[in-house]
Amino acid sequence: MKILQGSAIFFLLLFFSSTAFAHKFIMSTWVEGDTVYLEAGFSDGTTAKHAKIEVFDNSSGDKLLDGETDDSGEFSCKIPKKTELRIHGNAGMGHQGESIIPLEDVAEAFPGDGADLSESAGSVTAETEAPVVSPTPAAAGISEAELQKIVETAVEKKLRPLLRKMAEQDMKGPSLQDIMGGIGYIIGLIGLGTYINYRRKSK
Amino acid sequence: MHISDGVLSAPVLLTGGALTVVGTAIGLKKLDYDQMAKVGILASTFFVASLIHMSLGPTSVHLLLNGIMGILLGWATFPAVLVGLFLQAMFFQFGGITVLGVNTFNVAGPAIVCYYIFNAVVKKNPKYAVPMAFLCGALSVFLTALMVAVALLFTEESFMEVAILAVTAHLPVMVIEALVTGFCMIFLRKVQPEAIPALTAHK
Repeated sequence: MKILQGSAIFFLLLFFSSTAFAHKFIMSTWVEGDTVYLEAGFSDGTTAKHAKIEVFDNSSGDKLLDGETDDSGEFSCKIPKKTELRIHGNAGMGHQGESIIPLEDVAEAFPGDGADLSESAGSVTAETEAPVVSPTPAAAGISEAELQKIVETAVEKKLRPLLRKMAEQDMKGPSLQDIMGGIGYIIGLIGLGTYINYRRKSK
Repeated sequence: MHISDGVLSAPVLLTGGALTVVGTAIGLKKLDYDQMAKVGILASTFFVASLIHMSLGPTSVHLLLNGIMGILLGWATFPAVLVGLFLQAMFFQFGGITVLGVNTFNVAGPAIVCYYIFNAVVKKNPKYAVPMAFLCGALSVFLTALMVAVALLFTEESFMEVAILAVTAHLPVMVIEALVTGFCMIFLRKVQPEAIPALTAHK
């Protein structure tokens, strides 16, 4: 009897799970040059249009600027201040998220202060600086700073598709494994409950 | 409707948590262990159902199925929903742990209300089971949307705006759930009427 009842509801479950989508608010942020890019959406791929975006100075807590995502769920702004940024996105009805942009990423937008660039660990520019310094760029008519800028732009251009891809990965929804895992736990709990009940009854 | 972590204020979270604890305690006490399979199946269905979503402009909503859960499980809906939401938080990062109490109450509370309404009508007139199922399917979603608005009211937004937004966004869900609940009832009544507490209690 339970099998019949079970299969009735199980068919319903199967019928719907073929069209399963996900539902988590996700925000991806990255820095290119002096601009912060943001993509907001839900983890099934739909974008969050006109979501409220606020950019804060994470060290002082002051709000630096606000705006909203466009019809494709994207938002961008020039980095307002050389500080660690905290970006807060709100898509309404309780969907919100936060993202921190570390100081290293922000510092790249302010190349005037040379000390910062050499400090940022693992920065791509630090690696490319070494071969550039030794020959005399003045002879070729390009100053060191200009060459650095050219290299940076080229590297960012190459990195952009990679960063986009990583952002997309973030946006992937629950996998089949996750679903099977959750249902497995439920079945386990039911089994446990039934066992406890059996023990209690047989006493 | 999953509210994310960090949206609601502490008093709201604590109230929701307390109410859920009470509801779950009652649910576990009234749990008829012979019905464990039913609870497990409905909990699994609920777990997966939230993945089925419709996007409407800036926001996205998903199926709840709390109508059919209330009608079939009664107070056991509380532990079922709690487990379902907890596993969703763990596996899919939907909602959060701090908001677990509020989210559970928002979904299970209306289910209990529909359980009592359904029983009140159907115990006297079993032939109204199907129309009542359609009604309760829509009603449970409506009440949940309302309660989400109430929870958000105590944060920043004005009640009317959020309430109207939440309810209108869920109108398609109400229609679909009414259909799902109704057809489930039609099927179960023919095949397994013992599964429906309202019909078995009828002497």
